[in-house]
Order: sequence, then C-alpha cells, then structure tokens
Amino acid sequence: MTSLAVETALHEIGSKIIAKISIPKDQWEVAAQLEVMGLRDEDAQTEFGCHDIFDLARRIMWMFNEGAFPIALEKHYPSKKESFLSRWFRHYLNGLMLSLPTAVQAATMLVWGYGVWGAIELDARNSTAIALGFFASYAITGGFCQTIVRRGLFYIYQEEDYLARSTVLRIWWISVAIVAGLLIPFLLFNLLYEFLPWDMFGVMCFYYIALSILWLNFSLMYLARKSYLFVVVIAAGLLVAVFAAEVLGATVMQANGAALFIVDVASFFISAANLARRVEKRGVTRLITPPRLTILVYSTSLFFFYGALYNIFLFTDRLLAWTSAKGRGDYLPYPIWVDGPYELGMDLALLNIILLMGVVEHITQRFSEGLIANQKSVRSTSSDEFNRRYGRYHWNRMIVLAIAGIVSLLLSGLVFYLLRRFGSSEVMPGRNLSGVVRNVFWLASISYVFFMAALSNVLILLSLSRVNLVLRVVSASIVVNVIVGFVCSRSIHYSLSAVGLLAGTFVFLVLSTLVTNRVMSRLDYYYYSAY
Amino acid sequence: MTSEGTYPFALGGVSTWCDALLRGTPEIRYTLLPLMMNPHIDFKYDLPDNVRRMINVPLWGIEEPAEFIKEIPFSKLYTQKRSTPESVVAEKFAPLLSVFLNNVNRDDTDAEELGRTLLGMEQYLHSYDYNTTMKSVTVWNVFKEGMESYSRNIADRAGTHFDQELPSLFDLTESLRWLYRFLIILNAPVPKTSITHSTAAAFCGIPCIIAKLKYGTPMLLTEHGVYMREQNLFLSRFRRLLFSKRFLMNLITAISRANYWFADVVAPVCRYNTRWELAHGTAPSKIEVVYNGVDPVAFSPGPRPPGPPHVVATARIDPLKDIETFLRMAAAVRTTHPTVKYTIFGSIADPVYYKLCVALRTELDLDDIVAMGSHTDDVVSAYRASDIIALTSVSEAFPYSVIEAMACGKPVIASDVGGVREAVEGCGIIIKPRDVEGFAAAIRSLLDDDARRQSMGDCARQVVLDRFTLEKSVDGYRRLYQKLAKGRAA
Repeated sequence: MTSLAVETALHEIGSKIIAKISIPKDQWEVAAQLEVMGLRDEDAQTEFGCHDIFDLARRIMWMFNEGAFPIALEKHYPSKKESFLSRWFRHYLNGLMLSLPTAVQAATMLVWGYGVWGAIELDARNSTAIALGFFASYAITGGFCQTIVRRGLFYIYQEEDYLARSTVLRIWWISVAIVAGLLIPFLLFNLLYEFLPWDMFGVMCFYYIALSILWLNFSLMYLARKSYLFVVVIAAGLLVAVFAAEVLGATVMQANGAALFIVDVASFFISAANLARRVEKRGVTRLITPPRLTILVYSTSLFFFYGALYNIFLFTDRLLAWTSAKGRGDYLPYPIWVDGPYELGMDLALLNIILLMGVVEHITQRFSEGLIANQKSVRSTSSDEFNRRYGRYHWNRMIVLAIAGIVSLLLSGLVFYLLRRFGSSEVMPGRNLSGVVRNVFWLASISYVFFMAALSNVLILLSLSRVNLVLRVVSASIVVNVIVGFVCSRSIHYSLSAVGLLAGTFVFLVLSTLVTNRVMSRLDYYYYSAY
Repeated sequence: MTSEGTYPFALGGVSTWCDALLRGTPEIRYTLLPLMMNPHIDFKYDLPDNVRRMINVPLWGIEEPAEFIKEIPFSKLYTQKRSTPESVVAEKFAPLLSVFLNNVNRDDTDAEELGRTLLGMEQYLHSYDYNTTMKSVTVWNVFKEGMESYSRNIADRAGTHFDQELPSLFDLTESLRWLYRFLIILNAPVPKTSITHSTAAAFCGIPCIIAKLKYGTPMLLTEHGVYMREQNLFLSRFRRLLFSKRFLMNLITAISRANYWFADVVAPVCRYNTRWELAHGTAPSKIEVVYNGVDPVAFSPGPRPPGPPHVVATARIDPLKDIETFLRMAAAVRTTHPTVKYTIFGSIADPVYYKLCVALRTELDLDDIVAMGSHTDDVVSAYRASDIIALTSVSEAFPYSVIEAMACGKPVIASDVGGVREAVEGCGIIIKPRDVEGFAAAIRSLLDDDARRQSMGDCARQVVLDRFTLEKSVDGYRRLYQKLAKGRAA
C-alpha cells in the first residue's frame, strides 16, 4: 500500500473509533475497539503498515493527541426544562397531598363532627382514653415506621423487591407483636396503680391497637410512592364513620370502630398488593440471603430513634398540659384528663402545617434536584466556592421560609378570626374561641412555623444521610420542650405547656439551622459521603 | 478460588469452566471467594462436596461492607466502628491511600508497591472500620488532592490547560464511591490455603495477592477473556463522565497489572490472550496456556433428524456476537440455497440489540428461515440437528460453543477472533470478522459438498479428542496446582 493510502486508512479507522468512544483514555482503549471491529494483527500489518494491533492503536492515539480527529463531546445528561411555576406547583401539590389526610379529617370533624378517630361531641372521659391510645400508638410506632420506610426504600431503590417485601413485612409483624405485647405491662401498671377506670382503659387499648396498625400500614403504603392513596384511604374511613353515625345511628365508638377497621384493612391490602405487584414484576420468588439481624437492627437503629423521638416531640406538650391541674380547678379526676379548648387550639394551629408542607416539599426537592447538576458544573478546585454558594442558598432558604411562615400565620390567623366571628356557634357549637383556645392557637401556630422551617433543615440533612446529626438536634429539642413545658404548666397555667412546644421548636429550628449551615460549608464532602 | 460475577451465581463460559474444574478435581479441597454484584443472587450451580467453604463478597446492595461476610462477628464490627476516629484515618490510612492512588494514576504502575499497599490496607481493616474510614473527610481530601495532581500531570503532558483536565465535583464523588465499592474486597478474610487461583486478572485477584504477600501462598491466574480489555470495551460505551471513566480504567489497569505481577503462573485459556498479558508486564516464563475442554462422551456425534439443511449458531444476542453478520450471511446464501434454515440458540443479553436484529431480519425478509432469541438446555441435540455451525463473533476468548460443536462432529465456520483459530484451524473454516461474503461462500461450499462436510466434522471431533477434552484441561490445572504446591513446600 502507498503511504498515502495507509494514511487515509489510518485516518478513516481513527475517525470511526473517535466517533464511537469520544475521547480515548489511552492506546489500550483504542486497541480494544480495534479488536472488536474485527481487526487482527495481520490486518494491522497489511492494511495499516503497523506491527500489530497495539502498534496501530498507538499510532491512532498519537494522531488523536495531534488533533487529527474531530471530537463531538457530549455534555452531561440534559436536564429536563421545567418552568419555575410548574415545578413549584408540582412540589407544592406533592407536599399538600401529604398533609391532606390531616386536613380531610379536620374538615370532616368540623362539618359532620366525626373523624376516623374521635368526634367533636365526645365526652371528656372517652376523649381522654382515645387521646391516650393515640399518643401511645404514635410514640411506640414512630421508630418502626421510620425503619420500615428507610429499609424498604433502600431495597426498592436497588430493585430488590422481594427482599423489600419480606423485610418490611417482617418488621411490620415484629412491630405489631411488640405493640400487642406492650398491652401486658400497660395492663399490669393499671392493675397495680389504678391509673384509669377499666372502661377507659379498654377504649384506650382499642384505639392504641387500631391506630398503631394504621401508622404501620401507612409506612408500608408510603413505599408505593403514591401519596394520593393516603387521602383515598382516610376519605373512605371518614365516609364509613359519617355513614355509620348519621345514617345507621351508630355511637361515636361504633362509628370510629367501623372506620378504623376499614382504613386498617384497606391500607394493609393496598400496601400488600403494591409490594406483591413489584415482586411479581421482578420475577424473584424466594429470599436468597436475608440480611443479618444484628446489622439490620444496627443500621436502622438511628432512624428508629429518630422516628420515635420525632413523634414524641410533637405531642409532649399535650401530655404535659393534660396531666397538669394548674388552672383547671386544681383537680383532675384521673392522672391525665383531656382538655377540649387546648386540643381545639392545637388542632386549629395545624393549618400552618398544612399551608407550609408544600413550601417545605418544594424547597427540599429543589435542593435534591439541583445538587447533582451543580456538582457537574463545578470543577474540583472550586469546591470552596461551591460550598459558599450553598451556604448562601441555605440562608436564602431560611428567609423564604420566614416569609412563608409569616404569610401562613396571617392566613391561619384570618381563618381563626373568621371562625371566631362567624362560624363557631354553628360549626362548633358550644366552643368559645377565646381564652385558652386563642392562646394555645397562637403559641402552637408560631411553634408550627418554627417546626416546619426546622423540618426543612431536617429533610435536607436526611437526604444527605445525616440522621445522626438530626437525632442530636431532636433530642436536645425534646429536653427543652419537656423542661420548659413542665415548669410553665405546673407553675403558671396548664395551657402554657404550649410555651414548652414553642421553646422546643425554637431550639429545634436554631440547632437544625446551625447544623445545616455546618453541613453546607463542606457540602462537597457531605454529599460524597451520603451513601 | 476467587471469581468475579461468575461462578456459582451466573451462567456462562467461566462458570462452566469453574464447575467442571471443581468436579474434575475431587481430591482437592476448595474455598470459594466469589465477588458478587449484590448478596441476593441465587446459586446457578450446586456446589460439589469438595467446596468446603464459601466467602461471599457482595459489592452492592449492602449497608455494611462486612454485612454478608459471616466470619466477621457483629461485635467486632461495632468495636471497629467505635475505634476509627478521624485521627487514625489520617495517620494510618491516608498515606496508604496516597500511594495507592499514585500507582493507579500513573502509566507505569509499580505493581509490587501497589500489592504491598493493598496488603497494608487489608491489615489496617483488621483493627479499623471500612465504612467509617472510606466516608471520612480525610479520605475525601486525600482523594481530591490525588485526583487534582493527576489532572495537573495530564495537562502537563498533553499541553492543555490545567482547568480543562480537572474533574468536576460530581466526577470526584462518583469515582470515590466506585472505589469504595471495589475495595470492599479488602474486608474479606483471606484464608490460608495451599495455593490461590484467581479466575480473572481483576479485583477478585486481590485476596490472592494479599495471600501471597502475607502467607507466601503461590498464585495461579486464569484468564478467559482479558478482563482489562473487556472492561475497556464496557466503559467505552459511556461517553459522558470522562474523568470518572478515565479513573476507572486506570484502576482496572493497575489491578490487572498487579495480578499479572504477583501471579506465579498465568494460565490463559488460549494463546491469543497472552498478547495483552505480555503487553502489561507479564513475564513470558510465567505463561502456560491451558485450553478449555469438553466431555467427549456428552458431546458426541449423533443421528441428524431429517429436515432441510440447517445452519446453527450458539451465541447470546449481544453486539460482540455480531448477529448482524450472521443475518446478512443468511440473506446472501438464500440467493443460491433458498431451502436452508438457520437457528441462533442463546439468550438475549442486550434487548436493544435484539430489537435491532429482529428489525434487520424482517428487513432482509428472513423471518421464515431464521429463528433466534431462544435458549436451549439441550445444546447437544441442537448441534446434532445441524449441518454446519457458524460463529460470527467479533470478540471471543476460547469459546466453548466451538469445541462443543467440534466434539459433536460438526464442521465449524468461525470468525478469526481470539483463540478460535487455535481450535478450528485445520478442521474448519476461518473467516475474517464481519466478512459477510466470506461467510456466505464458506457456507455454500460446505452445503454443496457432503463429503467435505463429513470429513471436516470427523476431523474436528478428532482434534477435540486429541487436544480439547475436559480431562486434558483438568489435568492441566491439576499439574499446575501440584507444581505450585510443590514449589511452596520446597
């Protein structure tokens, strides 16, 4: 072959390779490509005048370094174009969907007087028993729910659906057994100390079991990643409750019982069907290597404690308020006694959580969605600038949350005012939205604004796998919540346990903000190690 | 014996070979150390009785690297976690990581130093926790510095601007996360054995390197395909994340070279593989080719069921098998031999490629004469029901499908890739890869000449009996085992 023909052939084969692989790393990568193009050492000799394939690869690599081949470098994965408004709307709706079950339950309660659990016109004895059952279920299942969600998603993300199903159902059964098993110490305690009359104790146990199963089922349902299912299930339960009470004339307990039965069964079967469908799709029919129990417990333990403490934190103030006699005639018929005005004030303040949930969801999603794209656009030597940029983002985020919080307070205040002015006698006959209700409403509203801002920090920390930091923050906040709430509710007025909530959420916000700021200042490292 | 992504959790040539070797040497006790994708993969083979111990090392799908290594009790893991502060990582691990990265990122890897560094890391992990160490800020900083220094070197060499060669933060993150996965193997307890046998010049060779340095255990290395070459091909498919790709290729090259350096014997399954091994520093004196073999009783000639002329290929549907050339060959042959049927037995390895092949089959109007995409468990019957076996691959090592077909007394027409020539030459037809007309002409010539077809098939059977039986292959490894064990005793 003439040298011109050889040069042409070399250029042709080199161009083909570069078009296929873009920038070659070295001659070995080129040699591998030449071989799978079907070229042999003898072809390298006869067609390209080279000693062998490796020699040919070296020649092509040299030509590449000399700029002989044009390269079409592909940019990083193109990101989906979506307008700010559409993204904001999508995120806000997602967040709203998560708080919608609470909103639907509250609305039904206000309009018809019934919820899936509880009712407006319940007497204080039954309200107390139900509240105790609710708190116990919430506190005890909080850790298990977190464990189910974290471990379930861990396997689902790895497309190990059979393992996900077997693991979460195993945790579910263990949780149910523990929930049921705890009835024995409850029973013994009541037997020894006569904490509650037996009829109240029975009501408490019923709600404790039924609601525990519901929370656990909800955590299974969360794995389906379809948040509208929560609304559907709760709405079905509410319909049953209203139908039973209004049409069939059932008592509150009977209506609640029917509703809880329906939501428990429906949520379990929806979750089980979702998990089964995933397994069927994957085609795996048996568990190959179950994880070591010790490691399973250890690796999920921090999430367990976080879930438990998080739930306890949210209801500490109520427990403190209802166990204090200060300002309630210095007498409680039982060691714990529900106070309607306090609960009403707290429930109305939930409006802030409903309003802010979408904002928090949007902020968290934007952080997660933007992080990878930003990482791709920053050179490693500019990591300090990258971290500073996220530091500024962090404080900007807090400003947005502060503004959203103020708007939320104004809106919820307006709703409170309208209810007080026009609706209280009709919608909530016999309720006077002043005094304790008003005070608790405002204290709780401000607390919930703090809480949601702190939650935004927490979600970002959790997305970076920093559950250990979150756990420390929540623990410190609970301590403040308990101490301040205890002192205020015992020394001034029972309803001022809400000041404990305010102090606790404030500490939660301050600490989580500081910790998040610290994480942002080394975000390059924290993102790397978040796996 | 160490494996990576193959025996006993996946089907394929390497696994077939492993199973045959283990069963063929019942007098030898084996400890298996398979690296696996994740811990939840089912066994594809029943283990023979001489496998006394399994040390599974999953790389993904785990929360704790030692989660599925049962030899490490939880109490030890916990204690290690508590005793791995940042200061220990900085003092004891960071220097090792620096040396490691330096060797990975240079063209002339110091394999000896790399191996000793791996040993140092393995010893470190006896006392300290892997997870805590690898996720420490010290490791991140050392890695970042190491990679930036590498970028500076590339820029200096290529005469480009430093900034151009720098990794993005995402590149860095991905690269270090990959390193975390691949070095999980360092957590595996390295057993004391008479010899070690790595089935690839890959990460699964690391325990063998450590055993050699720690206990003086001789190391045997078998290469079926050339790992470095296969991984280069795989990574070439990714046109983005160039820095990460470059880092992974460097890592794989360095580990392969360390395997070649520390192996006492490198035993590829064909002469062809030695080209890459020699090019990456394997001493020629270390190389001893041991060909794959088949059982000539199980794979034997049998009556051909009546039917039209039939050309068979046993190949998974994968671009490396170049099914397109097979289809074009069928289309070319049809112009002169319209009654010939074709079957490609093999699973669908690449669904996208399968679709492309199905479309091409339709385009070439071959739907009624070419069947493909189905796996058969009775491959012997498939061979017996054929007249010619055709293999159009563009990449092979020493394929079982070729020697199995030869053992069944069938003439083979195959592309000249890998070690195919070493098996087929003299008793089959070798064609330049992707040469459609060459393949078509060869098929026609054999279809038109019954006597030649028969004599070529007989010759192929005889070649297998002479050189490529399972017994000969297993004897080859037995001899190497004895030689290495004897050398150690001496």
